[in-house]
Amino acid sequence: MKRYWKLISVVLVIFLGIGIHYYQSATAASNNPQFFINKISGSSDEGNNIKVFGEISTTEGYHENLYIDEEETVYQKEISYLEDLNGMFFTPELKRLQNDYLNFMRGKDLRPVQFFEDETYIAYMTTDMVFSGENFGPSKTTFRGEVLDKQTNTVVDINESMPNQNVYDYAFVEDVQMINGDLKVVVRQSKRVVDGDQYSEEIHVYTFDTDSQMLINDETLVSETNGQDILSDFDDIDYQEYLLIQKSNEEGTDSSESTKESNSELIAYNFESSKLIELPISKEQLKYNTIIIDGSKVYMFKIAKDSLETLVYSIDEGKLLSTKTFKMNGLEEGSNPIIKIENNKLYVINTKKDRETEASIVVTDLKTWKPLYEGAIKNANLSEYQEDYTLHLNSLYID
Amino acid sequence: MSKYIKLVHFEFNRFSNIFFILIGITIVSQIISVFTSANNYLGNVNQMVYREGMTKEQFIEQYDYMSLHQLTDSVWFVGPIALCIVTLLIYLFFIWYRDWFGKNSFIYRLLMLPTSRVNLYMAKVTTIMLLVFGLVGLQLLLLPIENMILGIIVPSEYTMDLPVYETFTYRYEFLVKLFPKTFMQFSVYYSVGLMGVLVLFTVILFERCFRWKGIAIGIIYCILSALVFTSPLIVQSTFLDNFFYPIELLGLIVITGLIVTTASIMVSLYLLKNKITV
Repeated sequence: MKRYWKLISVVLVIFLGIGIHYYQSATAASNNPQFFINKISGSSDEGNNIKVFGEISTTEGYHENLYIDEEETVYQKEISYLEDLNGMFFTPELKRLQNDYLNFMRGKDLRPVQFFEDETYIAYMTTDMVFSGENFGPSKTTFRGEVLDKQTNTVVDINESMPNQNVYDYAFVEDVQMINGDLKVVVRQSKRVVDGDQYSEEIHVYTFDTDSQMLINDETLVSETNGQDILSDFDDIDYQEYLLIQKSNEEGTDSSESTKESNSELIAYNFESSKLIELPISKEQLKYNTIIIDGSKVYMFKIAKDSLETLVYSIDEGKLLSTKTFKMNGLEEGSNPIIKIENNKLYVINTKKDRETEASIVVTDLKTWKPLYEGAIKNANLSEYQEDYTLHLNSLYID
Repeated sequence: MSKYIKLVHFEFNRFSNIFFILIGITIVSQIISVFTSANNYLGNVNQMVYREGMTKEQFIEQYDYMSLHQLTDSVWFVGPIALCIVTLLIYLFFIWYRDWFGKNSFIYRLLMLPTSRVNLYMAKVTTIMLLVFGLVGLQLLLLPIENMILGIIVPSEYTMDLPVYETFTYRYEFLVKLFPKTFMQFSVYYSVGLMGVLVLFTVILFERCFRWKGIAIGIIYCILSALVFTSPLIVQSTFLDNFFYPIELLGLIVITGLIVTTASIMVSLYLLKNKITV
């Protein structure tokens, strides 16, 4: 044995060096703050399906992605390399689709807006842009879509070129809906206004017939130099009655164009009837920080200190419903909470938490406007973890 | 088995002098880098904070905390790592060629040993692995020590008082390349490295068997191995258009990697048994 001392010591260095380092880094996460959602009042059934994703950062520059649910915090580094490969940060809905329809989901962009799902269909659409050197925009844009019939397990492919494609600089899919067997695709595309650096952004709805696999209709909903926002829930892949568009309220250089088209800044597009409805909501009312559409109701939220004022407009009834205000601790006028509506429940969560403050979560029943659940994100090992940190939450999912 | 260990011992000892010199250089040079970097940093603190009246926060904003990160900018720190890498790369060739060159072809005696030539081959592969992982282990043991010395020299308000493994996850791009974040990644990277070594050994044996013609065969073998190994990636990015999920792709690469590794070992052993000339 003695003559082998050199060999043995090298082997020892290998196992000690590599072993200690990777053992420590594998178990390191337990030293980080462990958050959980602490129930304050209400039914815990409403709280235990909430999952929030965010990022923690310390003053020293350390940052790490994580998610928090009722029981625990999972840091990205705790997730094994293999799990991490498939991505932890895409929505649970797409994860479920990937599990259940493994083959259909192959090679698809993981943007929820490009998917649609109901009982019978899963639809997907993407724009395939081939860029050329001549102008900066793509020289060729093709729609590539697939519709899976869940019952028969058959897939319909769509391969159609975009009309007037050489005019546009880009085209991105912003929503997909299946309406009576037709595939409706909302596309945001931009074109350069003749001789100028001005761009004009348009929102189109393209309709594809899934039987003939052809493009059968192209509607232009809005065309604006200042751009516009689509105010739909980007994580949602279910059926939506309306598409809600807010025109930019910045005063552009040539505001003449936007004023002559319409005076309203909020437009709803009905997917079934293909009708555009201008919502008579004043500029003053539109100053509300967050606007969400759910079914045929438009919710506008104004954030004030420790309270949230909600204005509801019903498109079907064509009028403003009552204004509700409810309390939520920790809100500031400038804060930007995550607001989400699912199954007729309103979820509001504060996005920022540090050592001293807590991020509160409130779930409210939208029919009765009664609070269902109130909770807060707490740090379970506050006393052990001495560093200052900030937790930024960026998305909320309800499983 | 004992013959194999004896051969490993023999092969290792042939290089151990240089190896321990490398280790010595690394330790001394990196400890020097701790002191020079810390001195530099403290010099800046002196200049900016005490003479020019910068606040501690402004200073940290501009110069960052003192940490291993600053060390990786120092030639005293990176130099020995580069030296070790280059030396080992050269020795990959030399571990074979030294047996042929020299006064009396040593390979003659090696090949005449009353033991399977598998052992001969495996001993050389094992030695290379011992050398590589020995240096990796050394560096991973050195880092916490260097971190500790830094903590002693530099006042605590200017250091990030974090253990090395913590700091790996977000700062030291250079070190993370050598030592990936998770053990799984580490295994994947270094397995690919080992496969590369085996392919190179095959090329060397081709050359030793067929001389000039062997070099041509070796190059073809190299290209072929690279194509086989990366074929899942090639297929994925060309006509299959992201067909595979990342985890499936990793699985396929493991398979093609195993194919290349096995093929290299088999070809090498075949050459060593049947074609080798002295």
